[in-house]
Amino acid sequence: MIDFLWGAAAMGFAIAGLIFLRFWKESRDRLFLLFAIAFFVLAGNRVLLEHLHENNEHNPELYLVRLLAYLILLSAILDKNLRPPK
Amino acid sequence: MIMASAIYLLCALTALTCSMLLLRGYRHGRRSRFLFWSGLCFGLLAVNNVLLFMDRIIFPAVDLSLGRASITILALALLLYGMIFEVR
Amino acid sequence: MDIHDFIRNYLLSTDHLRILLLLRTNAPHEWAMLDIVGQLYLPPENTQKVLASLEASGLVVSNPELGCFRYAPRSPELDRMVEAIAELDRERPVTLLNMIHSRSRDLQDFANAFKLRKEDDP
Repeated sequence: MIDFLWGAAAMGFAIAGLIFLRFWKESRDRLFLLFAIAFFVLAGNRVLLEHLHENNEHNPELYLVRLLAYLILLSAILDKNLRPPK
Repeated sequence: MIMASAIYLLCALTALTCSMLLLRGYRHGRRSRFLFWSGLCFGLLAVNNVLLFMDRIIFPAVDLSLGRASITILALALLLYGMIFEVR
Repeated sequence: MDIHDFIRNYLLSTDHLRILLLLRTNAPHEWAMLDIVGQLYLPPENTQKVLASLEASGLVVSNPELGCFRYAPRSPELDRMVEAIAELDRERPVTLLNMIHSRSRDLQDFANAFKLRKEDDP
């Protein structure tokens, strides 16, 4: 049951990533591209967690994947605010 | 341990920031409901990161993964709903 | 397909709307690209792109020998949609323009929500 839920979550992150990608193509605003990448990383994070579940979920390196995704979100916000106005 | 705590809390804060900015944008702008749903989504992702912190660091003996999975799915459902039905 | 779907998938900009309505009103007259540019005061490169997009979505056909375009919807359903758009354009043009812009405005609002500084621009 829990495996099924996490699988659905991974799928959800990936679909949201795809839609953000489409928003980027439509609007040409880099913020959407960075959000797309962050959501793909979060989807990958779920897949990795699922695969390593049997061994040990307290795998410290995996925090770093989540960290990476959120750093990308932070960089998207910074980029939005530091980019010189056109 | 300290490193993991810091990372979970940083993730929670980032998601919370996104949520507050989107809901602020919703209230002050032309009330695009896409912003409302995505704001809620990031709010739930923030809650999720706090739960993860409690699950792993504060109460390692208790398994909160069912709750965390449900909240993640709810968050994504709200986001996808907004993306698909409110952006038109 | 309802009118929102049609706008979302076919009327990607107000230039799409203006060119489509011009060709439809004067159908079956064939328009040279530069005549459209002159009639609507549009930039030529963009007009070329919009015409290619309208042709790809089956709303106009081109005559490659003359470099001309005319209104030729691929299906009766598309024709009905364009008719509904033309009617909306006559009766509630502002509503129609808002409908065309709202999608990109939703995306803009999302991106702009992350600007920390308050700005006056919409």
